[in-house]
Amino acid sequence: MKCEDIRRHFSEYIDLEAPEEIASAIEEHVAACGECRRELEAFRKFNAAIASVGEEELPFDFAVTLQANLEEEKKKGRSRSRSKSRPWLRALAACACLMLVLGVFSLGSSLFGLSMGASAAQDAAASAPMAYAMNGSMKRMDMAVTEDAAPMEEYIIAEEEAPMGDNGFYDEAEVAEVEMEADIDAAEGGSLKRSAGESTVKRKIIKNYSLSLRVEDFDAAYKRISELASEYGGYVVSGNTSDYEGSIVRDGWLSIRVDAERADEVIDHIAELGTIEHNSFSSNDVTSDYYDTQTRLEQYRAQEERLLELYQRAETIEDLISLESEMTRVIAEIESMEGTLRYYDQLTTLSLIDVNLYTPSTYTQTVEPTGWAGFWENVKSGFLRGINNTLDSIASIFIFFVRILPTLILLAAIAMLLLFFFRRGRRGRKEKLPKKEQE
Amino acid sequence: MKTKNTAAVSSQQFEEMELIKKSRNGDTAAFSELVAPYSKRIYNIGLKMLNNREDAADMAQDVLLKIFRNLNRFRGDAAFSTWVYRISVNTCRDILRSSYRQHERLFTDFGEENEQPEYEVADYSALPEQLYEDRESNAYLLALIRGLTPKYRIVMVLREVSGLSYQEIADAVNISVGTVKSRLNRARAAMREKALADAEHNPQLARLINCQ
Repeated sequence: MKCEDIRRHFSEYIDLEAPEEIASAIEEHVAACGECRRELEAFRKFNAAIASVGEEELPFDFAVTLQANLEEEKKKGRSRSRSKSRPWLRALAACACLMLVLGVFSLGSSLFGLSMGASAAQDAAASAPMAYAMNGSMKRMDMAVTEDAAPMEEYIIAEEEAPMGDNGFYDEAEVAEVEMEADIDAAEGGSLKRSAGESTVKRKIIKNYSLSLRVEDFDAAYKRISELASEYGGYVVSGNTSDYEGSIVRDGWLSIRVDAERADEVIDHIAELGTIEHNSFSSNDVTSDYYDTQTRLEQYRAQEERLLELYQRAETIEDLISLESEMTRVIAEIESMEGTLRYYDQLTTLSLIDVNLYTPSTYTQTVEPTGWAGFWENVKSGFLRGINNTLDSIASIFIFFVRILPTLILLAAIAMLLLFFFRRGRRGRKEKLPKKEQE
Repeated sequence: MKTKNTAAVSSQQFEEMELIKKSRNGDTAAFSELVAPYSKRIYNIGLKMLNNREDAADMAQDVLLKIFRNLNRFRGDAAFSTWVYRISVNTCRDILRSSYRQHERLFTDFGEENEQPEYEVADYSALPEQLYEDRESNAYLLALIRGLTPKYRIVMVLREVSGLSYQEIADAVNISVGTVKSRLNRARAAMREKALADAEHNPQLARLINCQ
């Protein structure tokens, strides 16, 4: 074999993947050919250099991020697999959908004035948070009714899920779990210690609450919530009240930030002020973003130090200029990252509570789902209404008759009088005629 | 000795199957244990195939989630590791495709059999001239690997960084062993040519790659 052919197989040979006959051919050849022997040696060394690039360690927060991702995936997957594994649940869901369609349909027809009051479903509806406070003009009523179709949907689904043991507090329970895990992480400490050794890995979760509160004394409640903000180490973010001339309800909203760890206490206090009609909670886990930024920040700080060192040792003007521009860039990056971290710190240490405040109103309108439940009542009331209508018309005819009676009597009298004279006239003529005949 | 080895391997496989079973039921701790030997490897494949640590970490998380999600589809007729590498390779390919749409021509033939012309083995246009003067020789070598076009790069990475056999690489990338052989050969030749050209002006680099 020629040297060229031999060298073509070096790659597989050094990987120990060459077939035996090629391997032995190479060995034979390099034993005889000095140039190829050196070439093989160089080739081997070059590849050793490439392989020396090796593997880098995983980022320090990799495991934490993975665990968070898995939990999230599991939460998503659970609802999927659950509906897969229990066919009766699917049937139940189908029923719920059917009910929903019927509900929406009857709601739609009620908008066109075809509604008949349904009493059976009314009780259920009363407990649902569907009361819609009307404020201002009556023009908004149509809109209000259509918007209520959405809460009804939520309501029905919640009803179906309740027996599954998953109630509305699912999310909060999950969050508590996460926090507990974070504590364990902190306890296990060691391996998760940050390189700078300043703190341990702690979950960074932004929590937001939103409440709808019905109160008797609007102003007092508004003032109290503002006070709560400062009592619990926070502040009022924004607020808005409106008091239109002639409107019966007062309403407004207030956003406050309070110490995240004591947010529950604040909500308890707010609940004392009136009736919480709607309560929602959301959280956003920014742990991985936070520590990513922190790691990058550390890298940039190290770079800044190196640049400073270089800057002091720089000799030419070009070096100084290029180092300066690089430092400007690095410092800008550092500042922006520090800003991001401060922002996250603030969001995670202070929870946002949005409170929607309003006074009870006589204009509170309740939309109740109708459907088959009230069918027989509807038939019955329809039938009764039919009888009533018939009676009504008979009565009307009677009243009409009575009303025109005097006129009729008068007309009858006139008619009789005319008839009388007419007859008399005719008789007179008859009496005359025989006279003439007699003459 | 040989029997002992196979016994050890099969007990390891048995352990793996147990962990897979547990993971399928949503045991995240078991899953973490299952993928622990692979996480670093996946991340490093990403690190060499993509351009920075953030992308590599995202890619590795993405791969692990895909594995978790599709564990039910793993039938066990091939090694778990092969399956893991396959998902890693495909994920890398998807990321490269979506981020370099304008050069799609270069990336679509990832698993194609016919060879590309020589000039497409590597593209060092992005490699800064002064990089090899850096004391960090690693950075230069990494740039050398990243300069290869993806279909050569993936083979190189799986071989030199992950240390897979030709057969394992062939399974992961879905090409034949012969193609693995020829791509590795071409990739090494292209890298060496570039390094030798750079080393002519730079004794430090020459020492590094031991070719003087």
